[in-house]
Amino acid sequence: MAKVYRWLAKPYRALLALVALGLLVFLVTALWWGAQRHEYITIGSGIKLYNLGVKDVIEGFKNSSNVDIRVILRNTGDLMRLLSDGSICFAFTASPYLESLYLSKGVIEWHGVFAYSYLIVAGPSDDPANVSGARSLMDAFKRIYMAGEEGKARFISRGDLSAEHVREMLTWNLTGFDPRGRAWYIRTAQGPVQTALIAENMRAYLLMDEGTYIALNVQDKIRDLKILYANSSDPLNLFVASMVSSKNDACKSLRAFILELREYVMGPGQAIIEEKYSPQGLLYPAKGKERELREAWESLSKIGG
Amino acid sequence: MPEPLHAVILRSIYVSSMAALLAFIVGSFIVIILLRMPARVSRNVLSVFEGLVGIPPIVVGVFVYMLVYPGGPLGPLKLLYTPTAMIIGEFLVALPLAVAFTYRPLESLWRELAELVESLGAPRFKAVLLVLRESPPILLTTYIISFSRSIGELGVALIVGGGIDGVTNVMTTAIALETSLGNYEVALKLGIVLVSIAVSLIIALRLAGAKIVEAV
Repeated sequence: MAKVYRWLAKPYRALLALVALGLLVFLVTALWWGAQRHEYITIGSGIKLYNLGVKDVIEGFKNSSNVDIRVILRNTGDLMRLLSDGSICFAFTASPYLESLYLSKGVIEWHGVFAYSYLIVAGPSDDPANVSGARSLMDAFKRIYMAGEEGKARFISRGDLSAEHVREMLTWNLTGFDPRGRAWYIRTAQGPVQTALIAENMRAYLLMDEGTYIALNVQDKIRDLKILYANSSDPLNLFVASMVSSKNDACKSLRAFILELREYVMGPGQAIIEEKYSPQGLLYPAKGKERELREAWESLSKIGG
Repeated sequence: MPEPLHAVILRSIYVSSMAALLAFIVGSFIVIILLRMPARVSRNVLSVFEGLVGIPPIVVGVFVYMLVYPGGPLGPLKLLYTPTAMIIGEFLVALPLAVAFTYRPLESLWRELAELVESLGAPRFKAVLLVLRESPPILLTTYIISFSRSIGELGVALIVGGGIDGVTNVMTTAIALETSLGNYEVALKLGIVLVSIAVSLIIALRLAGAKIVEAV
């Protein structure tokens, strides 16, 4: 022992020993991880969507099967790219335009609306555009446009081809107004939570999904932002599950597991959403409304680009 | 179930210390090679490394992703979304810093010792050995800088690690996730924990380094 200590007393030898020890730790852990490797599916989900319901559906699937699942949380654009690379084999997203784009490219083999929520117009409590008096979503947007032009209001757009953004573009088209380039029309290119917080801080209007609003309100993260227009039949925010193409080499060996996951999401997963999320108005299962939701998705998927 | 905080902290320390170790070893070798080159060439090469110090980690993350994704040249190794991929990426982020910060002090040491070795008529490789013997404090600083750069890095951790709970989630990805959910208070607390850990580890390394130097 004394010999070892004497040898290590030279600083360069001690450093050499530390480096060797570090490399040994690296090699041992890398080999250990390699030996531990087992089958698992890597899937992707929108961050808000994951916390709004997908998390419990995935947990339910894990408990009912022996398949391990690893979840990557990203926005829809990223997730679609990861699907086409085979880096993930299944995704939960909410952007009809991007979904249809990758569907047409052959990246997605199957996709289905598995849940939906309602879109609302939220804005500052003093409501300078008088959106609370609107009779339709189009009317609400017209009022915001007029107030914006008069310098009384601002509108926050996600601008990322998300479901909210696509629905927003569609509504602007229907009003005949084009807010792009106006000083009061602000694009965030951020997620739903960040966009809502920006709207709260800027005292601006935005189109957002009701589930996100309720979740943020319960957590006391938004105080001034109020629901000023809501319609419990329309417009809808559609959440889609997408399965990678069977031609994708990286996911081929996991095909049986992926199909099992799809069946779970569209089957028992629906009951989880119904029980845990629908009572609070956060998320609703697609079961029983498949055709109607499919048609809504198809019409929304044509808007964007 | 989200994994406990200590597991995330330990993973952060593991990934960053391994990336810093690789950056430190490879960086030291690069510096030794540069020192043996003509001064004009080595200065130019050093300028490249100095320029790369400011490279956004997200660019490095995308580069490593293109290497390790299933269709990439290293795809068959199945490294994507593993700590090993994160170590590779963070090593690349820390390497330019390791080279840039080691070169100048080692260069002056090299000049002194090379002259001494030459005046004594000993072979030139003896100068390399002498530099290595005298360099532990400099190399320790290199390691610490590389470690600091790695532990606070997000781009690589997010792109090639994926921030998967229980597998590749580290402090920076946890902070990014909380921020995207609007949980700024939690993100700030995690940030304070991250900084505290980094500072404590660096102080411990410095003290250990000082002890080693004193022991000569």
